[in-house]
Amino acid sequence: MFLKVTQVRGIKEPEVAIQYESMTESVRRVISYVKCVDVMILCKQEGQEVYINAADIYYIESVDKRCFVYCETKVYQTDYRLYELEEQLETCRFVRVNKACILNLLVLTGIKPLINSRLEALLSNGERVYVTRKYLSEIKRQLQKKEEGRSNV
Amino acid sequence: MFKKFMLHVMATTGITLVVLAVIAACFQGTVIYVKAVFESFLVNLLIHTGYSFFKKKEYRYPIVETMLEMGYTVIVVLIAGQLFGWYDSMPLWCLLLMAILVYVLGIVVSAVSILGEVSTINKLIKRG
Repeated sequence: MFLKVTQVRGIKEPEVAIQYESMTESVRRVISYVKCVDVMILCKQEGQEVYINAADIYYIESVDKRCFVYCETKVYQTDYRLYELEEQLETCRFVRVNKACILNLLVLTGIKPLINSRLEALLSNGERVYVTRKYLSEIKRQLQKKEEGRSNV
Repeated sequence: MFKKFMLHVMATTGITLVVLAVIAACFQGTVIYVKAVFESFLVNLLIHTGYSFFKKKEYRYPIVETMLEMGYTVIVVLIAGQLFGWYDSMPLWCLLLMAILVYVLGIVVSAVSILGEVSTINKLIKRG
């Protein structure tokens, strides 16, 4: 992919234009990434407040009514409730995978069924997240929507 | 959601009738009454309604969910057996065996359907 970065003086905010011949996975990922750039989540790490970009989040898990934001290697805590985060991140391809976890579909590399009728999601950083059967059709629906979106963009 | 629910009810009703036919054949039976078809449908409808309540909660261990579903299935079948007079034509152990067999077959069908869904998801991920 060819990257062209140009400085234009006097414009109010940065502008991203994507040119493509056919909609490929890479292009789609870039579009999703750009759309999510402005979505920031206020988190805490060692008492310090930090804003984490939605695109950098792998998954968010709620443990004992506290939400933990998992990035590629780091983990943050946030005061938001899981349902609030789910609403905020809806446009950023996040989907609920179990009662206590929402996952970024862009980091999902596969789903593996386990022997005890459980399922696990394999993430691009090698982590594994438990998936409930109940949310399987929603994951499929979101991925299909993504596929439809590809032809509409 | 309702479509999927009805699909599950129909699928297990079908399994129930096949299992019933096999067991009846073992006892030299030759016919299945129309009322048995409707009774099976009603029982399966009740059982799946119960399952949908169990599925609202997430269980830490899948075995808990399985035990709850199995226990509920057996209770519904026993009550239905009393109401519809199934014990007149079938011993209790046979009815219980049938209920467990239908449950296990239902689990197998469900597992196959999940595997299909997982395969579709993995294909969609690969395609991007």
